[in-house]
Amino acid sequence: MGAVKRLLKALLHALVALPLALVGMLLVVVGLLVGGVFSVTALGPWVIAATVRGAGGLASVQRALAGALLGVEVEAVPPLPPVGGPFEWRRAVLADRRAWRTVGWVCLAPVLAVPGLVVAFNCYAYGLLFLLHPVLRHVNYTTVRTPDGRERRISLSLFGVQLDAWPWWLAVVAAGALLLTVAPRLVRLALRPYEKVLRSLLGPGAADRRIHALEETRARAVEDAAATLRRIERDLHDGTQARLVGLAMHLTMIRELVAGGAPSDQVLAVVETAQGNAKQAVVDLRGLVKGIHPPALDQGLDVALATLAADSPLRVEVRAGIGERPSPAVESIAYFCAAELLANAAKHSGADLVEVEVVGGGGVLSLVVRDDGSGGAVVGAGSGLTGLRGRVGAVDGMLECESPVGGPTVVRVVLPYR
Amino acid sequence: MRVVVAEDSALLRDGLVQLLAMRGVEVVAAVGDADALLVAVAEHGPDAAVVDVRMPPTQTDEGLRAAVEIRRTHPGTGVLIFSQYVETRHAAQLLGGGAGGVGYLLKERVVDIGEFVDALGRVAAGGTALDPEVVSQLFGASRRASALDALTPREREVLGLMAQGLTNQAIAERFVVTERAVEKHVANIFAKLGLAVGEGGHRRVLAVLRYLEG
Repeated sequence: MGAVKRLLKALLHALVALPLALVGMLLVVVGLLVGGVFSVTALGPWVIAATVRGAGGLASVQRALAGALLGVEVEAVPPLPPVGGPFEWRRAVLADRRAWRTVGWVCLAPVLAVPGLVVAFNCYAYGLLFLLHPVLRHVNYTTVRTPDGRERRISLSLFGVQLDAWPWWLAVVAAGALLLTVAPRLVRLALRPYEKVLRSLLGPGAADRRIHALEETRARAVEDAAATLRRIERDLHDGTQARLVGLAMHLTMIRELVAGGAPSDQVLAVVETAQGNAKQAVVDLRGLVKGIHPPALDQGLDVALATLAADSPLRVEVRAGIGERPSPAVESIAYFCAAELLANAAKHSGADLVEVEVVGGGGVLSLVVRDDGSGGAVVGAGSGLTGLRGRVGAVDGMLECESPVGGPTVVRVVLPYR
Repeated sequence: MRVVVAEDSALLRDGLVQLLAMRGVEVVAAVGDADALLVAVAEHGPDAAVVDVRMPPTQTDEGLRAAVEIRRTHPGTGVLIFSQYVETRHAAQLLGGGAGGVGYLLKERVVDIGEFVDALGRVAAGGTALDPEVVSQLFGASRRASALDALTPREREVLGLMAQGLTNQAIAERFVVTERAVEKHVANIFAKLGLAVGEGGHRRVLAVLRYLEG
């Protein structure tokens, strides 16, 4: 039943699209002409702007129709954000390239809608006629007088071969059935240009897609920054701050003990605990600072990566060849990618050796981290690699991960300098 | 005084227990999360509970919710929130009942262990003990501008000390004035905030609440 429903929808579209497109085009052309004629007066631009906006409205009806009847989903381009007064509106509409693309669409649509209608009409009309030929030939015929003076009824003939008698009419019926069978596909094919142009003129263009991508990476970058701040706050709250409160407590204890005349070994024990806390607070802070911005990064990515490698529990070989230094932001992203990848390797891969290679120059920084572990790393929901890809995407970089089960794992990060 | 301590950091929990013990406070249970706190309170029926705000599992406001629960189910147990940061909304939420028996102190207040134990005692006795930081934030950000405007600067100071839980006598000592003078200020504050005499002993708490409610 689904196929029949789809067929009926496509037919309905073929029937509706052309009249709608014709009327729309007529209105738009008239609107533009009138606007053009009046463009010497103040009225002209208003008429043109209204026409352009109207074309947009019509186009969205056509888009919706194609979506509902043909299943052609064309992503709607979000409308321009609302602007101030009517003059602003007019200027925005007249300057909107996307709006003019809809005008182009409305003018082309009638032409593009023709094949669909023609093919649909021909397929189904002839298909039905052929299928019913055995019946129709008794009703629908022309009478011809043959040279020998006899009358002949001819309903259908092709290249001088009359197709009315048995077994010829069987071929006609078969042809009709075949035509009806392939009709949906032919109609679909005939609608293809309509769909294609609809998609390219009404769908998001390269610029729209770029904006969409930027919006997404921006949102991720903002989330990432917020998450980082939250993590730092947690670390400070649970780590350093708690240690300092603990230190204050121990100092209070010492005061109480001394004031109460407690034996010195009892006091000393608390002093030692307090010292331990003070030391641990410093260690915690150092770790936290490194997580925010490793001091070694100021001396260059190669130095920072060498420091990172020395900290890793694994054997890490760093090869660096950086010409011109990238921006600090790019260096920082590359560093934290390497840090995360090394941590992953140490945690999950069971690798012995990790090779880190960073090459910079020609406006591109490339970081390759290769380990000889068990592989099977994936970029996906909940994976640390997804977070990295988000960070890398924020500066238009890319991250590729090759990690067959059994290893090795190779992660490539490419970052443009700006 | 019998006390339950709920604090997820072992370091601070042990330190606090030792300090309280030095001042003769009996810590009947020291736990690390809110569920254990509720169990301990139900089991021991302590005079007061010292409760950290952030505890496992989410490290957000478990302690606070447990505190509200304790005030509801065990009116005889005072709750002293023991926090690393000032959050006036939390204080307001706790005081929402209006019945006292609650306090909110920053963790570093334990440095003055004498005052800390006093505050704990006030809370256990059904009074309030708000951290001066909390009080000053409330005054700074008070949205009840009209009520605040009606008070003289001195009355505002008195209200601030009331919020911290000080008695009239303690306030008089702080300002080096007679207790009579403080009583007059307090009566003026009650009048200006529209708190009738009939509301009895809770008027001090209600006066503080007027600011918290905003």
